[in-house]
Amino acid sequence: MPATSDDLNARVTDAILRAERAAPDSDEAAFLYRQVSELEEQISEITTPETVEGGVARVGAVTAALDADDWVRASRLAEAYLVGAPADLEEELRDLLAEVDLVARKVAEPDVRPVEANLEALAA
Amino acid sequence: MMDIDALQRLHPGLPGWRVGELTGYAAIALQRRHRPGKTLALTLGGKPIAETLTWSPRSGVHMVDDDRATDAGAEGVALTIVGHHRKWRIERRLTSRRGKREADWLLYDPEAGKKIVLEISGTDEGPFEARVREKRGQIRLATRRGRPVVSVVRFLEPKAMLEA
Repeated sequence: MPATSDDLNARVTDAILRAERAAPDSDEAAFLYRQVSELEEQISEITTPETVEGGVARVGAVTAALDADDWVRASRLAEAYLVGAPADLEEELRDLLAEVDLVARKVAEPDVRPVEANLEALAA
Repeated sequence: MMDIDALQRLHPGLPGWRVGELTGYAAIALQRRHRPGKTLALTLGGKPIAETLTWSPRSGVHMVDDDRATDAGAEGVALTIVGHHRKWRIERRLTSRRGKREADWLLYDPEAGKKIVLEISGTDEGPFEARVREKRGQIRLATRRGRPVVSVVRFLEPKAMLEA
């Protein structure tokens, strides 16, 4: 039997509250936020983007994926949710996509700087 | 009379384990200075109400982190206020991005058939009006989600407000 909106709301509430208790940037937090993102995605599948529930779930699926450090998933979901999104939701999703791009660029171009060292002085 | 321990009945959508935490922290934050039966100076939509607060006393008050008791306790008190006085019900928790969010909860007003977005804040003895102004500014950003509502609780007197 497919999950109802009430059931999914209860599960996502429980999952968000548990994720909020985890230490920020920990493996546990990433795991729990991944669960939140998956539940939000399920809610998105049974709601339309024009509704409050639908907008909340779509933004929630993307933000939770970002909090799980899964920017590939965040990007894929945000791109998919842009299709048919009303203007206000589109604006939020584009803001999140900009954040995904920023994270992706940091991963692709790590902040590595040359360090000056005098080997002769070090050897002496 | 408003019973803090009625939170689960008022909001069946709230996980039981979290209800235990919120009511426990609310009781502990109140017990720092008050006893059950204390009057809460409550402002509901601009109207002052003297509400009697009751709860089952908790032990271990001095073993609990003060800030956590204030934050979670305020959430327990505010959710009791919206359930008791407005009959609004929790629909779900809202996600945040790295701890930042416009509002904490999405609620449903069965009488108006409308969604409510609720932002809650608590302080033990800090400035009340400044916190209300700050939260009003924050919740304004959440209008696309539903009717924005703010609740601030201060444990010193105790006092609380709830307004759209």
